[in-house]
Amino acid sequence: MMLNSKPSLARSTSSSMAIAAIVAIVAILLLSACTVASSARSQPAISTAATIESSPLSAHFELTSTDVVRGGLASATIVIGNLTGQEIVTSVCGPFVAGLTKMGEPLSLPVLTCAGRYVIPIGETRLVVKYSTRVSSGCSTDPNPKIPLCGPDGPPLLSTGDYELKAAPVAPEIPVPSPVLIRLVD
Amino acid sequence: MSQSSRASCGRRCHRIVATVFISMTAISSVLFTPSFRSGALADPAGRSTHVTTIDEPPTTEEIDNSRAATRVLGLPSDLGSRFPNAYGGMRAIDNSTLVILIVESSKEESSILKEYVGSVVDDSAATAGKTIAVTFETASVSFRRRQEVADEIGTSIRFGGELVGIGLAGVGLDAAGVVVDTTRPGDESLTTMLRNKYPDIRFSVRRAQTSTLTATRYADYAPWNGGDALAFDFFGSAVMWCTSGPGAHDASGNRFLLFAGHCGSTTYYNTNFGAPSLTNPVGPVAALIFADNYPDIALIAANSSRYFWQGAGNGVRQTTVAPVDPVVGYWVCGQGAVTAALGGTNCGTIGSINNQNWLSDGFTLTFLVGWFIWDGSASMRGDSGGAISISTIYGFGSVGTITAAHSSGSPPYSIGTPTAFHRYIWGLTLNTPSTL
Repeated sequence: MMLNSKPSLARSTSSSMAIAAIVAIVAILLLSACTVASSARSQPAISTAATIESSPLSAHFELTSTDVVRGGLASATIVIGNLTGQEIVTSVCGPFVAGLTKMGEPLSLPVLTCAGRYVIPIGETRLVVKYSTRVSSGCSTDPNPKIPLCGPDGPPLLSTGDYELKAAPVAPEIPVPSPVLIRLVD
Repeated sequence: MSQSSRASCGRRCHRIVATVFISMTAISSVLFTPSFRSGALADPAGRSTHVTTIDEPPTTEEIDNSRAATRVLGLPSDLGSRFPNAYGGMRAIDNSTLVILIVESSKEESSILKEYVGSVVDDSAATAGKTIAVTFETASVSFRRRQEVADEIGTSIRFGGELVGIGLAGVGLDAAGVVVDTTRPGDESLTTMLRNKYPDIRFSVRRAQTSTLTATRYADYAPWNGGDALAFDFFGSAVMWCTSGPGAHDASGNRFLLFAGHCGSTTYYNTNFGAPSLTNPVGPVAALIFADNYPDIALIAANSSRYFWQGAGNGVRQTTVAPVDPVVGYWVCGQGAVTAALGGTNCGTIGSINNQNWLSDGFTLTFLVGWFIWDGSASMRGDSGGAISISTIYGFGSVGTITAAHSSGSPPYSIGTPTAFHRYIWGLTLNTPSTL
């Protein structure tokens, strides 16, 4: 954790002025970090790495672009940091379900109901997850008021605009990445 | 028995005329409940304490009749909920003649029920061109009351109530009474218990075919049943994974368990829930489809039965009598082994059919098609592949296999894949009393 390691620099400096200067820098950095973390919680970052990791078990998104062409599947990388010193064993097929939501709305998606064993190893794990740019409910080929009618390519497209990319962990012991702002474009 | 119904039920009715307490299977008693039973049901004292033994498999014609009757009038459970006091049950004389049992003590409701049935039949004739003859007979016990008794017996079997220890292995409804499976069909203590505890109910006692009460979905043996808990070998250790679907067979007699494609191709083992083991092999996956634009289906090559485990806990072994295609409004139950292990059930109303979407296994998305949703209850991880059943007065139909769930949905829902895909793609016939 880079931010946690910075205060130790102060202890290694003998000059009081240097100490004061470094303390000031650290204070600024900490304040900045708090601001970033707070920002990450309240409003998704537009940049690729969204979270400042302070937990021994953490996760964040990495994206190559926040502009996504609607219609097909898009992908993102979730980086899991496991600094707990031990593997995390879960009883799931896969760890995350990812999807787009309107700003501030919770992610709500079905998941295949196989059980299994997914192990989060010690250290960093990078997972590529895919998500849909169409309506999350899916569609039906039979007219039904509860679900949209399928088009020739499947469920209706989401409208263009801003969304949050979120990932829901399939088991409670899996960390949750902060959402990231995505812009759907044609 | 009316002359027309006697003529239409053929060989079975000869035996009915010859003997009063005739041997029949559950489904045949459902479809061709003889009219002597109407006499019994019309007992002025309102009591019908017959306990009969049944042992003959139903015919294909009877199964077809039951399906025709269901298609015409919708689910019997619908009539039971609409007319809880007046609706007594239903049976088919043939594929165009139905008998509705009416509890006349509830006069106003029975009158409305008759009108309702008439309107449904008229609609059916107008919209689908089907001409159905419906007659009404008198019953002393409502469908709802029989359902309550069956539920009570089933609960007692599952959770060790007072009916344990007298050989009960399953329970269901026929057209006018309650059917129980027993491992000790000649045991007088069973009939005495039933007669004393439920004097208003007419019971049919059927010999349990294979499994006994010592078998459960977590400790089963061949022939394998739907709803069995399945584990696989994960680098030498057992991992609880999915649940078996209903049994089926091909034209050569090879038997399979229907299954979910996303569970993966490996060899599966029946296992307990808390501490999975690899000591009880069921069989390997023989065929599997899990790809974009396909339904989520697979087959396990295994000596499969016509039974499935129903309900919470160890489960009650029930017979699959016919495949049933999902229809919006049907009340169905997923028989997943994990939900059952945690004491739950997974029942709800089908809200939509013929759906398609990308569904996630936690890593990737696969564009699955042909699935249906039942609202109100979410399957759990490990339930996949499990049988999805529907209860009718004709017995249990097999609707599909469990695919996915949305536990945070509003309402929560489960996703199933119709058995029609397994059957049509691989040319299989469901294991039922008439086919196996």
